[in-house]
Amino acid sequence: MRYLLFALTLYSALGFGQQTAQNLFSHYQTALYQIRIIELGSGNKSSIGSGFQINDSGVLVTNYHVVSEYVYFPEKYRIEYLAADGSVGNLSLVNIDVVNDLALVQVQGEKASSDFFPLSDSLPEQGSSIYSLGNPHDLGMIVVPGTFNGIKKNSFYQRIHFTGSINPGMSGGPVVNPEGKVVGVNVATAGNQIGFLVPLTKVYTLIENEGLASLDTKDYKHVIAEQLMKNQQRLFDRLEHGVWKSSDLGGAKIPTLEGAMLSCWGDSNSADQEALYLSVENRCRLDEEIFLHGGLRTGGIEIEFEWLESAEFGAHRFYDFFSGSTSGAGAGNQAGKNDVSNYQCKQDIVTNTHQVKTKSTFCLRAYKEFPHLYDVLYIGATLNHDSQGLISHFTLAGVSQDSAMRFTKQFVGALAWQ
Amino acid sequence: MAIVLELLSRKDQTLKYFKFDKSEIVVGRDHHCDLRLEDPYISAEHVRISQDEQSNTIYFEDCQSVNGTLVNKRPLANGKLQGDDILKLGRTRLKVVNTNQPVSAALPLSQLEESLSWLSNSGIAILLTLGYLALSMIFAYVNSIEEYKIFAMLPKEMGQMALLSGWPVMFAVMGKVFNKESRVVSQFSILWLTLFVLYGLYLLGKLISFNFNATESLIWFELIIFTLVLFGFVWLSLFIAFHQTNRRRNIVGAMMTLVIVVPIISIGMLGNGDFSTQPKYDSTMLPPLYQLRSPSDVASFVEGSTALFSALDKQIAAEQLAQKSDDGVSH
Repeated sequence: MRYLLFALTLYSALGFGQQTAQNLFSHYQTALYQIRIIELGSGNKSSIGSGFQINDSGVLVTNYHVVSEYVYFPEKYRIEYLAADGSVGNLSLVNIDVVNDLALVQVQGEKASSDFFPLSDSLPEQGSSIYSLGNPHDLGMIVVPGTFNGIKKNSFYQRIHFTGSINPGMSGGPVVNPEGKVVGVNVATAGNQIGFLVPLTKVYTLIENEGLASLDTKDYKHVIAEQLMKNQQRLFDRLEHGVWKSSDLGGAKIPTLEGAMLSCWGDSNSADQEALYLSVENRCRLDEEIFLHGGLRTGGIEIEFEWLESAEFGAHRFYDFFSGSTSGAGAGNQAGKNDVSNYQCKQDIVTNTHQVKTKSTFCLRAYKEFPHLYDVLYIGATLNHDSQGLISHFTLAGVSQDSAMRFTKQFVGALAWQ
Repeated sequence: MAIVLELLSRKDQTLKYFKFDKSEIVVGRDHHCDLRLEDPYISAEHVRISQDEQSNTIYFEDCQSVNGTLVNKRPLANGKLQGDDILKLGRTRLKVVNTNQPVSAALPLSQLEESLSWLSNSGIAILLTLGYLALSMIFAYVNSIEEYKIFAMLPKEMGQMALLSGWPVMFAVMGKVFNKESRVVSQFSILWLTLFVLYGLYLLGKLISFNFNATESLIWFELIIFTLVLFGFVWLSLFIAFHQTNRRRNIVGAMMTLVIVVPIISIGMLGNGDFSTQPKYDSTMLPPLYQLRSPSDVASFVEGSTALFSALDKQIAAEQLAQKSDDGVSH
């Protein structure tokens, strides 16, 4: 009897879900658009995404990454929409928020539909049903029901955790509650029914900041540079004022950040019976990065430590092995030769106040289009013991000189021996 | 005066000298001939060579031989002969030597030759060989991160040494061919000594780059030293293998050094300056014992990076300026 009741409840829940989805679809499909980036040379679309109208004057919200190609190369592409009734028209770029992956576009001409999605005033309860709308695989508009699972804990780049499939092409589509009010914007998937949404508050901020006129194409890069600069300032303020505690790794003490802002992983080779040395690793990173264009990500942080020791190796053999472990460090973020310069490095033997002596290498590369933003790479290897050592390493993407120098000082200064 | 003839090989190398203190000689296959040649294509009395006693001019006269006589590839019955003329009888070639021409001056005996004589001592050479084997085993041991088994490594190291032996063996063979003397022991000694020097320089380079920032100039300096050592090695190998003038040896030595160094440089320069997502830095680490300078503190290290920031800013600004002027030209 109990099972029957359960089955009935389940059936009715499903039924309700389907009904809402159908309602949503029929009610709002005129306010939902496919957004296409058209390559001017061939006249064909080079990428697609989704967008939704938020007022009666034809302003659409979508993801920045959907229109990124146009932002980077406005002379090679244009933005076009495809409405539910099959009509096609041009879109102009109103504003962007690269940090939260949002963009506002405006329907050109008088053709805008009068339907639009109202924005919700608050986020739903955790566990409640929400519906993701979009256009995956160019197959036409669809509705994906799922569950609201709260804001991703402690993440720096705030995302709503959505249980449901977000597929390529649904990017930029709205996520609505059963009343049809927007609570978030589709942005990414981590596979297996785990999706991420940009929270509503970020959409509000962008709309409030919306200038009256559309951005001039020449200003796109300035706007991005400004946003990146502000974002790194906020990020490093948070890092600096975060609670750093000292944790043990092998015979050393390393700085680790309290809380879950960085996600950390550990590893060691202690299970390897044949290894003549012990290697213990601790890696932490910021989960999200800022997408700028197909080949450029920034805004990430990686912090890695590796403790190495060997009772078998003498000093010479150990340090030869140690050299090998410190070589070959590379950039933490993806960037191409049109985006950044080559790295330039400075090396020295450095002692901190805890008598930790390291051979330190500090490398920098500059962003070509964003003045005074740099990618930083640091790698240090200790020089205190004959057959024990700590390799400390970090990469920072898209930071100012001030942030980079303050962070490096704090990081190198925090290393200690047990 | 005398008639002097040289018997030539097919490659114009002198096989034999014949000197006749007579004013007339007969060349042929017959037993009474002054110069008897075992060549089935030569007639019993083939050619008569005579010298005018006043003018020392040499004449020849074919003795109606079956196959005739060729002077500088032309068939002639008789005529005058000059120095360096080549007579062909049957399949045999004879060169007339101009006795009036002075021979080249003797090479001065080198002091170096004497001071290098210890290199040909087999005891020393064996010691150097074993020393090099030990050194390369030590290097392989220091480089290994797995358990080091000496008998497993031995064949590999010896194989490498066998490969290196190609060089002294090559010079020894050439020495044997051209000088009838291989001096293989000295060649080996020089090879091992050079490798000792190179290992020493490598370690010195490590020490310098560990303690001081390995700059671009250090790399060029290392390359110059390496080139000089290599040139010295090639020069000594040539010196031991061949009797030649210093000028010729310098030229040949320089050429061989360039043949080795130029590919190394061009491979090293390949892709230099291309975009890379990996920084170029020196990862040399040595035990604390080898640290020669006092460390700096964290603040001064970090403050010191200011120069790096401004250098990059300048580089980007310059690139953008260049790009703008490019755009200006193309529009």
